[in-house]
Amino acid sequence: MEKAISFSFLLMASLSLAAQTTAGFENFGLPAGAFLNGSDGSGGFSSGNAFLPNDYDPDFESWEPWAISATTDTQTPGFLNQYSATPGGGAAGSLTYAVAYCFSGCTINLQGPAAGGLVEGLYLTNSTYAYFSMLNGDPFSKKFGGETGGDPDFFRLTIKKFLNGEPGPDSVDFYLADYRFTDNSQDYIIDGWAYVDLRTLGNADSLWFRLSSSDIGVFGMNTPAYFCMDNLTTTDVTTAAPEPSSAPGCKAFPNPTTGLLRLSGPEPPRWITVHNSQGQLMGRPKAADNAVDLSGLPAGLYFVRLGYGEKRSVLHKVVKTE
Amino acid sequence: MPSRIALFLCLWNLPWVCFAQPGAPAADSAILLPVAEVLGKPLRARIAGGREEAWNAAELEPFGSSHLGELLGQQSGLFIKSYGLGSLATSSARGGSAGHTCILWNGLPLQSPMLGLLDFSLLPLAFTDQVELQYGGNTAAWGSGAIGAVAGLNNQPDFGQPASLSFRSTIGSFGLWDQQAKARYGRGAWRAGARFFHRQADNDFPYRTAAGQPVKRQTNAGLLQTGLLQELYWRPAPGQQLALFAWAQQSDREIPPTTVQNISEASQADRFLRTALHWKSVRKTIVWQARAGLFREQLDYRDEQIRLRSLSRFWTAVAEAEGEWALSTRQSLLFGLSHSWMQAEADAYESPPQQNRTAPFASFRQDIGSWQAQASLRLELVDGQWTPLAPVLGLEGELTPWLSAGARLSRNYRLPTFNDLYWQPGGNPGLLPESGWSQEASLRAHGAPGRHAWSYSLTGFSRRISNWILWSIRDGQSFWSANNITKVWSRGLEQRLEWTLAAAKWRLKLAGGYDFVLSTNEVTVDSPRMPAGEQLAYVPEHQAFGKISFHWKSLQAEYRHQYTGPVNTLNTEILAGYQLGFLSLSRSFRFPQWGGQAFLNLNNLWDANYRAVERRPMPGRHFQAGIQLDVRNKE
Repeated sequence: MEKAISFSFLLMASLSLAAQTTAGFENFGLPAGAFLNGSDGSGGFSSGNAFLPNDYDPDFESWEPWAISATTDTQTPGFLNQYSATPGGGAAGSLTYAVAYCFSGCTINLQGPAAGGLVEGLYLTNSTYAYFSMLNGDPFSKKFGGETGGDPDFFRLTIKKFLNGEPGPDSVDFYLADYRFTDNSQDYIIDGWAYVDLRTLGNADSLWFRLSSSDIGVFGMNTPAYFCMDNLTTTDVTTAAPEPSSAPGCKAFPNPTTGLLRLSGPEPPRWITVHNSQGQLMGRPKAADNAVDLSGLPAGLYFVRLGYGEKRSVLHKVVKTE
Repeated sequence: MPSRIALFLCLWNLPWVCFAQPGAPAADSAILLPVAEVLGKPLRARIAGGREEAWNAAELEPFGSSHLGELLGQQSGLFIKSYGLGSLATSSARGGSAGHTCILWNGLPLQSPMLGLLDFSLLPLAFTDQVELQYGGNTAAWGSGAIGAVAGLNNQPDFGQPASLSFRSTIGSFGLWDQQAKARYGRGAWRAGARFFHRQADNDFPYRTAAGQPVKRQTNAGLLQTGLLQELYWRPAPGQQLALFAWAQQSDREIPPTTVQNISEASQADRFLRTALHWKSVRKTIVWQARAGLFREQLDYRDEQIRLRSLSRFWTAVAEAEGEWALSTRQSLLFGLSHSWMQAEADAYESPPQQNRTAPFASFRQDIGSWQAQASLRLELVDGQWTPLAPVLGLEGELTPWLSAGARLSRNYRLPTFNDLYWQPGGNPGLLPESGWSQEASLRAHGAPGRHAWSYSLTGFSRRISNWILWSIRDGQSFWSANNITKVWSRGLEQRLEWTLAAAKWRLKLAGGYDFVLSTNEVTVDSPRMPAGEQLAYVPEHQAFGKISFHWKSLQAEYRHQYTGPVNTLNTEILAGYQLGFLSLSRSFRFPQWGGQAFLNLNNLWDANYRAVERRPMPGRHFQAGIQLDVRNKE
């Protein structure tokens, strides 16, 4: 479900709240049972302010890392049902969701006003393929708990954030299955949508996911490297997303500008990003003589973020004229 | 895309010499081969300096209701990687991979061109009169894959014998029911034979995952096999023989779950038809032979639970011609040419791949006193590309009347399989053959004081194979693909000791052996994870056996105890070593026109809880018992 929820009225009431956008993948209009695996060569999927990359190999008919799905088969185990989520639909009763094949790590890029903003959270669940593999085992993977039921197995999703090419110091671990309890009755495999709060990661322009399992062999992880995701909620930086800090109050002028954007402040920015009004990254120019050259960009509205460290940056809305 | 699954299908998609007439020291040889004494053992049948074992029809009788994997697992130095009763069985010879054992049927190679190997559980010994096993590489004689060992399954005519009918019925644990019939008939220059077998089993054996754990029962492990072998021999003139073989077999097997899998609904159906035509002409100083075979095989793997069906089939046509000259009483020379064509079909191939192989080969043997030297050479043209030259140099002879020595140097190779080359995703058409040099040396001491006879042999070998093909993930790839990325060094020591005490009515034989094999990966590979210096998975460092057999009149008893050391697996655990005991008892009875045998085999006598493959349980103590009746026409 595509949600573009405006919280502007809340913003007026409290400056601490920012506009949020949810990527629910309903914008693809998929009918029940359908999926998109990138075979159209799109290269990825945009929903809300999130861009999910896709690499499809027409020779092998293989894809990674993201697909969009509205499949509802919750009963069939195995990789031929690789697009299904265990709940049989998206989060919060929606139809559509995203499926990740994430054998060696995968990424979601935040775009538009969400690029560099705080990520509120997302919903996660198991794919039907991984779920039944962990529950019952298959020819390559063990059922969790092993032969005796007491093996301390786990299937873990680790989420990190990146900002301006730098990884964040923190990560969030979410256990898609956890059999490490002394009391085996507490062991579980996630079969419904679970909300995961990502605010502790801080501001981000991309999220990075990695799966790990206790069931590993020489060929790597035996547990099928799939998970499903929905309703990724981002915060718009343009509406005063909570910046942790003490950004040094650098100014940028003239605004509007025909090309050269001059900067002033106590220290030069360490990095600069320029996004257009659609959230696409237009470049990472270098500041020279306290100025940024935007002359190569077409006329329009741009978001120029000046970074002074991981948690210190300032966003300027800049109008470029001919 | 779940490329691991594609990899599994590729590797699982499962699907024989020319000692054949060459190596057959048959009773009829004297009739057919008046110059056999001149030629000695055919040049392709063995290379001087090598080690070999053989089992004749009488020795195969206790295994008449078994398959080749069970024979070699109990009686040879090969490690048999068995997934369970009736399930897939492959071999590791001298630290090699399953594709490094060449299987020949009357001299024609049987390996699947898709996989480069053969499932030993599909080779019933009921259809075999003799099994020969050559240890070590002999690519020069047999071509691709003859790196670790060459196993030959031979059929032999019984000219001069009256017409006969045989029936064999075996029952056993876990629903085993095996029925066999064999008919042989001949008149004049003709001899015909037909064999039939039908085997079914539930294989629902009980097992424990560990001591103290509740007993479970294997499920979805049923087996149904039926086969027919037709042989026709014609000797139109002295010294000439034409033989026609047709072998049809179908096998339907359920694939049981692993110990960490609740249920399995997978099954595998194998169908094949193998036909061959052999011609031999024996003249005073030259033996001409020609062989042609046409094989069609099909494998249908299904898993209803995950709605998977994987159907594949292949055709192989092979033709060989060779001439072996006795240049003198001390010199033999052989020239031959082999050509084979193969084609395969599978959903994972973009189009059915084909391959043509043409190989001239030659061999020369020189006797010098009690010493024998042999040199062999093979060149192979594979779809227009020459493979590495494969020479073999062998030397053996007596140091003293009781001590002999042998040595062999060879270069061997294995061609990439169709799956390695063309499977999508991951097939790599640019693959090179696995190839490398092998060396071995042996000492054999023997003696026969009085009624005693003893022998001891010690063999050491070393083999380095480069361009070893691994399915791996390369930089920049997101799927598993076949690559020439590693080297493997296999070396080891093999010891055998035998002692026999014989009297008029009885014979006692003691035998023992110990094999030490190191087979290490020499290049660090990240994915799959294979550190340099680590022992290959499913290659035990230590294997040992002890055997005692006793014959008294018509009674025969044999006990064999074997030890298999721990092995690395494809997961993190090391599979524990195990000891197994095998007891076989039989009594034969003979009357003028009929005879037979009653037999009882007790396997895993000490009820060991063991596994040859991780997560694949094996049965505890179980038995096979049966009776064989042989009816002969009057002379």
